[in-house]
Amino acid sequence: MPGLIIIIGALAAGVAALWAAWGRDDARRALLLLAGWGLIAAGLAAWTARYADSGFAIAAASVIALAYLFLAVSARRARRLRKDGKGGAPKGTRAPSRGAPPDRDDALRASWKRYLENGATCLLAGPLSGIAALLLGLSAMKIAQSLGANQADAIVTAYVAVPLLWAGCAAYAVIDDTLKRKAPVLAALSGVSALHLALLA
Amino acid sequence: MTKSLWPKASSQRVAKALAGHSAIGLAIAALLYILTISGILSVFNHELQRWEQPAAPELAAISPDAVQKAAETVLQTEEKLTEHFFIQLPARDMPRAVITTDAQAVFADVSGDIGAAEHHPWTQFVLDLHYYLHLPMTLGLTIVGLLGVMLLGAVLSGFLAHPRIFRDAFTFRFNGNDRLTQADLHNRIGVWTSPFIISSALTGAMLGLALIISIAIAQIDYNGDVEAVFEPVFGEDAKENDAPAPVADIAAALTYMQEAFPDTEPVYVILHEPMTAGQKLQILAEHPERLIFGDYYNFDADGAYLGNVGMADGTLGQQVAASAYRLHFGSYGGLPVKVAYALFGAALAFMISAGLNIYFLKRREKLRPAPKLEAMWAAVVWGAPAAMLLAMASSVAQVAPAASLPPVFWSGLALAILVAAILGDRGAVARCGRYACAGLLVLGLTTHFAVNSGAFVSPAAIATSAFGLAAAAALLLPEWMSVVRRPQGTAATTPPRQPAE
Repeated sequence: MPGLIIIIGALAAGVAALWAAWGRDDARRALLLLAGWGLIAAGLAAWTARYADSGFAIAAASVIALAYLFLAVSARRARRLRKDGKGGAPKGTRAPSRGAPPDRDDALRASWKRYLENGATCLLAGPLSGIAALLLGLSAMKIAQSLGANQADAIVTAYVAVPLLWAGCAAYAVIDDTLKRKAPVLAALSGVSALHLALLA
Repeated sequence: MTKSLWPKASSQRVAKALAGHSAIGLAIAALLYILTISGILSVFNHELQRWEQPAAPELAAISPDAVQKAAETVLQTEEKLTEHFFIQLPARDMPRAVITTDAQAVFADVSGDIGAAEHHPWTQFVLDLHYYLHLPMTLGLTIVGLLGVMLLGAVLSGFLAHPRIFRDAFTFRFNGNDRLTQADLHNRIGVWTSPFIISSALTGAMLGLALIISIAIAQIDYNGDVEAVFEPVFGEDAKENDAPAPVADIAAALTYMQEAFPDTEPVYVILHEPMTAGQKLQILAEHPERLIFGDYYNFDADGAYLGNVGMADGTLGQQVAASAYRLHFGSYGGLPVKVAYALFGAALAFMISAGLNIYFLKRREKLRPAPKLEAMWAAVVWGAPAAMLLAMASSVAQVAPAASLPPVFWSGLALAILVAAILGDRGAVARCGRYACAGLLVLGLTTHFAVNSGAFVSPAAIATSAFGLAAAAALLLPEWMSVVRRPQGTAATTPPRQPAE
């Protein structure tokens, strides 16, 4: 139990150091960042060493819960400043980013071309990204097999890779606003993977 | 001023990423929100099962001989030989023994005598909503897996859209601009909840898409045999031999487990093709302090040990695959981890709601308000939990059979959205939704008390009921606070804020 308290203390100190670091712009920021991430990494490692893989997951959940506490403190401070009529970020902290520039909606008028492009983007991000990810995932499985991986490892490589690749392809499909570029990119990824699988068949 | 370690992002790239993030969010918000709130409840599925049937026999442990007796009793009562046979053994968060066949599921007591039938239709409704959205199994699993993928895509595009998300990780601007406040809440909670969101979305997508991926693997490596794809990971199926045989010696297998693997906790007895010469006996045992759901220990019909499948000590792939379920549902660290998962799930629901609020506020700023759409979104936010609670109250009151719960939920939600579209008043819809949730929760709990008054103070019911009452009070708290804070004799001038506000 004392060991666990020390680990939780290290994680809390790590989150506190990040909280302090991200609120300042002076020379100590880098030191605090290093200390914060170092303490969190040490806490994660210690909990994992003590409670195996579930220890890592519990430690990660603890970091999130601790961060919520510091978020609540920050929110409370900001609210108090707002109440005092000062507004903005708390004193001694950097101003937050102004956010992203205006989105593409501002630049585009509603038109049949836009609706068609949106429809095509949906197709690319959904089923076509899915096909590309599936082919890439199967290709990754085959590469794992050719490198001597156990069959279970190769299959699970595909189970893990396909969702990640699909998410990556979907994000790319919605972020890239040039249909003439993103469609060939996804088609090329699918084509290369399909060719790889066909050559091995 | 210190320089950031991160490369500077171009404003054009940020704008594109933000547009992409918004597009994914808008596309999946409603279904993802429903999955999130059903997921929060699914984390507590054992507690809810116990609450639904508080009078069922509870036991800390059951002897191997009692398990054998219960198994034989149930198998002898079956008119048709069952192909699947499971015995759920008592565990810490589910201290019940349940024998399940293709035709029935019944409780066993500590001496192995058979009791009432297991009956938890509302918990099953919640689980089916989370697993399949009440769609046919393969289609539902795939859509849920796709939603997991899109959530991963939203996280990725969200990070790309906010290049200073870490530096601003604790910064709030409560300066009177609603959109900036909403954006800060969405981003700050999002960055800290992202480890949970990524792990839940990835494991959910893995579980949802496993079948589709396996079908593809089967085509290229196993001549289309999908079951063969699972064998290297989860072990081989038994070879069928339909010749009659006595029930396998489950007691001997459980006794062996106690002696040979005292650090494991057997949670399931699985008998494939029972009472045939080809029957295969497996004990699924949990490994404390591991993320894996357990390992399968194989025995022959005489209870002689044959070896384990290797989920605990086999290949890395097996261990990763076996860890997905518990990592997704937070069932690896007892009640504290479950509570943490509920908190993170609530944060995700809040983020989804805040994300949509940002969209609506942007539209208002651009003088393109969408009051009907805002009201319809408020109907999803409050109508989905209200419809789930309507299903709960109907089920507890025994006025709606299990099969009617999905129609009750979906038609209730559709009606709420329709009414909201007609009203077009977000504030009124949110307020009515909160009242409906609180009212239905109290109605369900009161009915549960009336139906199960004899077992109300049992450990299976009291804590869950008390939490439900506290949740109902919390739902009404904002309204009560606004009444208390309002000066005497003045009417409210601003509508109540949306949940994410």
